[in-house]
Amino acid sequence: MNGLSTRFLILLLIGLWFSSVALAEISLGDQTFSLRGFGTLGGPYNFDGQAGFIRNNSQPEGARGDGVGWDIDSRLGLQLDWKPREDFSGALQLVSRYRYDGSFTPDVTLAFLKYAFDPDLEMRVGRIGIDFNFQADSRDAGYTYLWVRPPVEYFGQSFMSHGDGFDLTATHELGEGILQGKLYAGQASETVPTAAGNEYELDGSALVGGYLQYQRLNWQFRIGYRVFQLENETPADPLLTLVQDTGVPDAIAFAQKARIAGKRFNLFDIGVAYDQGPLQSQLFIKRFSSESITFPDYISGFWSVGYRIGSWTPYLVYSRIKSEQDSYATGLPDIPPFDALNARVIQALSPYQFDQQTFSLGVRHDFARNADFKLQLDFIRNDRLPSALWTDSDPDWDGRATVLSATLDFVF
Amino acid sequence: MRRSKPGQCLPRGTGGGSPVWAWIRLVGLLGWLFSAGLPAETCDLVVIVNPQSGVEQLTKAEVINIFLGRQKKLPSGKAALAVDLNSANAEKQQFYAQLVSKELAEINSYWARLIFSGQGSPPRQAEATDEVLDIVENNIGAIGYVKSAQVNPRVKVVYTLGH
Repeated sequence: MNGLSTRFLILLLIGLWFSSVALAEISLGDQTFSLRGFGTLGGPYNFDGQAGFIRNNSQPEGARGDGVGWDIDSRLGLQLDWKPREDFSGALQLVSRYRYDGSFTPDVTLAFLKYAFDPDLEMRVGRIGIDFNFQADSRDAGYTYLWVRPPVEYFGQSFMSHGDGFDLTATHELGEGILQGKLYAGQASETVPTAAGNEYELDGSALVGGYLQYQRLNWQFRIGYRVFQLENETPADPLLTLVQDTGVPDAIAFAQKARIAGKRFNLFDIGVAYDQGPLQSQLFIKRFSSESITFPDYISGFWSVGYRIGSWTPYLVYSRIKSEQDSYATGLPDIPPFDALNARVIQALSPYQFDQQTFSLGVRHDFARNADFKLQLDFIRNDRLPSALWTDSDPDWDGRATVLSATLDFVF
Repeated sequence: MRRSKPGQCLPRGTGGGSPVWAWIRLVGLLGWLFSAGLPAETCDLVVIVNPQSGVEQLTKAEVINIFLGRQKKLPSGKAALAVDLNSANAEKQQFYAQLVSKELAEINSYWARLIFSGQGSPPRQAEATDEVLDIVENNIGAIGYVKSAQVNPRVKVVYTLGH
């Protein structure tokens, strides 16, 4: 993989310098405008050189044992907040990170106006972060969570980070706690790389969802549901057309089941977080169901626990994803001239069947009030290859990998 | 390791139940028993509101919900204007240690998550206690915290930390 680009490294160092000279804490004060930022410098070293380790499937190339994968975790974000009134505000956020085209071209990740009809009822319109998964809308800001990166099995295959639309958030006091509900609707606008090395445009794909969460003292419970409908056809579509054009009824049915344009995909998640003084723990599970066999149904989850001792917080994470298995029978006999086509279809579709688990242990050191250092060791076992959670895996890879990561996170 | 400086309160509850902190607490208790220092009440932090806010008292959960941005209204229905102290003030560390057993770095991380997901902004940061008192005295929905000895008749105490 290419090294971290020089321009991006300079930007990161400027951000780091800002963080050291900025106030020791982020504060809004009374300013109408405020400029803040976040960043991470660091990355994984993959002891196994037979597959590329990626943080999520928006990254086209992974770290494969030829040095530290600086691209994987390093990022820099800048955010301008505008708050002319208590009930009206806006935000613009740019994030530079390793993206689908291999560059660090900044993306606009937030650009919204927020209006509070009442302190308990707010609406945002514009480009908003999608918290399809628990706190996924802040996954680029490493300083905001315990780990080096969000667990790959839970967050790694979620390719939508933001959407253009609106959300409506209502809060209500219930007992000693706060019940919060959110509804959102919008369109995706991102591009992601595919396992086959192509790019897939999410533009125009519709998403609708919502969640309910209840926070009471140290506990937080959450349940969420969302559905999205993809607009564009899979890059494997020409292959599916070949299958369909054979005229074999089973092959025609297979091609229709494998297409993704216009198909709906559902995600249901449930979880609980406990945060009591130095102890913090989270357990989240989600179920993905799909109308297309290209992205088979799966269940994924993670459990994390950390305990702060002074400024050090050692932690453990276990995360897992498992898809329902599918043989991808095209309906065509596996004999010439169809066998080659069958093999190509299987090659194109099988990376989206997952069976992977990771056990991680690490430590976060809050050495300053606006910066931390993290060290994390991941033991990964992948029982289903090839996998879209890796890049360019060798055919003889056993699916086992050990990854050591070190990052420096800061906010300013 | 944190030590109590002259005239400064040692935050209670910091460090949760770890053995190290248990020893620190024991040493602190012995120090208090054999010292002729200020009475503990002087160091107590109290949560204050404007007397016109319609709030008589708050529970710990309500104070947590307001200062962590989960609840944006006072129980009386007024829009809450939470006033924090900036980190130069020792009271801030004591406040979050006693309220949620958290270090300031953790509170900073908590707010960073809400800020960078565009979901919220932290309480207004006052330079010093005098500014907290001034804001609370002049805003019906304002809520802040000060040492109990600094309370004046123009604000109302609705919660005492550590009790």
